Amino acid sequence: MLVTKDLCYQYSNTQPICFPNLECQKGESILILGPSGTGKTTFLHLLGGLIRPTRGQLMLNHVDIGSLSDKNLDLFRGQNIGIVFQKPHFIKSLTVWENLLLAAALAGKKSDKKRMIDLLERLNIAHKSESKTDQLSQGEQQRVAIARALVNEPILILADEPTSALDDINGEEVAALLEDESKRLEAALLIVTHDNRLQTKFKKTITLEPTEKSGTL
Amino acid sequence: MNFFYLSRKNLSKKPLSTFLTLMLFALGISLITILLLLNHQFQKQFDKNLAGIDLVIGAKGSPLQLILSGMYHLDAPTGNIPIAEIQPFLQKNHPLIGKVIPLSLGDSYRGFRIVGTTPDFFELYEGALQNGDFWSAPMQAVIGYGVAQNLNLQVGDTFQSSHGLKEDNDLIHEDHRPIQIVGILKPSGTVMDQLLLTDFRTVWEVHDHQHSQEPSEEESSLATLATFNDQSITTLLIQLKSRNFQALNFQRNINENTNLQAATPAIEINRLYANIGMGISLLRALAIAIVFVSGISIFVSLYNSLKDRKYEMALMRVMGGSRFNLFKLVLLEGLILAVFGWLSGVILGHFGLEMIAHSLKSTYKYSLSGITFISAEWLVMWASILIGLLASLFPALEAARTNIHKTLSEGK
Repeated sequence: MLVTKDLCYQYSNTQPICFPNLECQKGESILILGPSGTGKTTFLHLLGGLIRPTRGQLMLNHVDIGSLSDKNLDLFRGQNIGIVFQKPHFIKSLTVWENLLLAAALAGKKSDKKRMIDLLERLNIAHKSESKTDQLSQGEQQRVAIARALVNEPILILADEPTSALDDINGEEVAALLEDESKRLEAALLIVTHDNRLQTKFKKTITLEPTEKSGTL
Repeated sequence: MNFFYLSRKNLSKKPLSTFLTLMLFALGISLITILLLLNHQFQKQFDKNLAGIDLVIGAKGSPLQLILSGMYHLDAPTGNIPIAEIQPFLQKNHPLIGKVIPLSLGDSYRGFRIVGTTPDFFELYEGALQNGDFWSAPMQAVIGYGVAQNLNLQVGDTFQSSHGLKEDNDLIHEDHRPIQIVGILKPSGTVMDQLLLTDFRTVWEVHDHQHSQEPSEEESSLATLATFNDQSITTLLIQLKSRNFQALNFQRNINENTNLQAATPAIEINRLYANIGMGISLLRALAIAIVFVSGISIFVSLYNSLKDRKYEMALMRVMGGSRFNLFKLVLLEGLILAVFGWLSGVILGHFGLEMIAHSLKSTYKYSLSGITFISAEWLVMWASILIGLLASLFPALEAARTNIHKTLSEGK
């Protein structure tokens, strides 16, 4: 499903960062751990097609992401990859519901209203759908961010420190929701984190080592 | 969910800044609109009132004053001219003159000017009757549509003229018999709408108290006028048979060799335009400057809101939006500002001119309107759209250039 091979990314004027090969099946969850400075976010952005690898290959559902044109990559990302960030950000001028509609529209998908309402109900935020996003609590905002990541039924869900800004209860809830929903969609779930609270919940983990940074290109 | 909706929402998220930008744009556009309409309507009115008149003859004085008083009924007359001196122009077989219309000016009724003339006057301005008849004898009057409307006069009503052009009860000629209204003209869009027209003898009768006039049997015509060698009138409007070298000499001859003055309306009006043109250019420059500044204001407000929304832009890219989508979104916001600013400006401008027209009507008896549209206004619309596009081009490019990876990493 998701296969990476010799992925490396080089910032200008620095040593390239290389990442371990990765393979993730449908419905499988992998936790990516590592202290800060090991390129966790860079890895996640590579996986999400937000940046292109300087070297190596990334296959998602048999599509070589690196070979897509800019415009096709944007569309492919919108339709197949859902990303949840550490701090939830939204289009502030829009309501919760409109933010979801926008996510569907940008990915060029028709919005299935009933499925969207079901999703919001499972995430327990349906009653906030007409609220502006800045009127929500941190926990609620993160659940809306998850809803937005899932609205186009992606095959890959990426989460960048989704729980580190939340307290224990909310963090646990968000982690559980992510896992449940990715199982439901049979999507691959990758969570990048240094939050130790999550380590016990996920079986498969990969740790990025600071030493991985060295290498030649 | 479409981009238009999102752009609108983004703009209304910052109501004050959006309102200020819109106001500024609307102000500039409304000024330009008013200037365009005023210029157009004045020009049209002046052209209409020109009525093919080549020469205006009157007493010596300012040629512009002669034209303004004789043709546009705006200024005071320069003085009177004895009929004895103008006899040559009254002859039917004059080699250069096509048509002559005599005018006796200087009296008014409740602020509206009375003009003593011959029925040829109606031919000149294509006057047609709405009600009643043309006059058949002195002391009868045909009044313009605007006069009838404003003073609520009907056929059969009578009035007493007043000396001078201002409304003043002390100057009413009380000792003459009242003038009777026999006809009301259709609206013509010319100065005629604001005049009370009567036979030239009416004016003499009102002023000349010794002559207890026996009703005249002679018709109201130039030939009759020529028989009153000891009377005077104010102005002659002249259409020449052709404008040639002889005609130019004719005018110079009058100015150099007689006590009369001959002026060419087109030349005097162009001089007037040149004089007030300065003020109009200044106003126009001011209006353009305001629009320019409002263009900058569009740019600044978009650019500022873009800085606040950098993360949103990156987010839209994450959700599948292309660079072009973001470019479109910001461009659309600038366009919406420009188009709404233009629209408010047009409404404001037309409304404002309608207000100006009301006050002008009561002071100058000239009718302007804020409810007419001219083709130059479309040009203003395209210019507004262009300004909107130009002002938002750079912010839109900036939005399209958003570096997702960098923005998202920094926005943690």
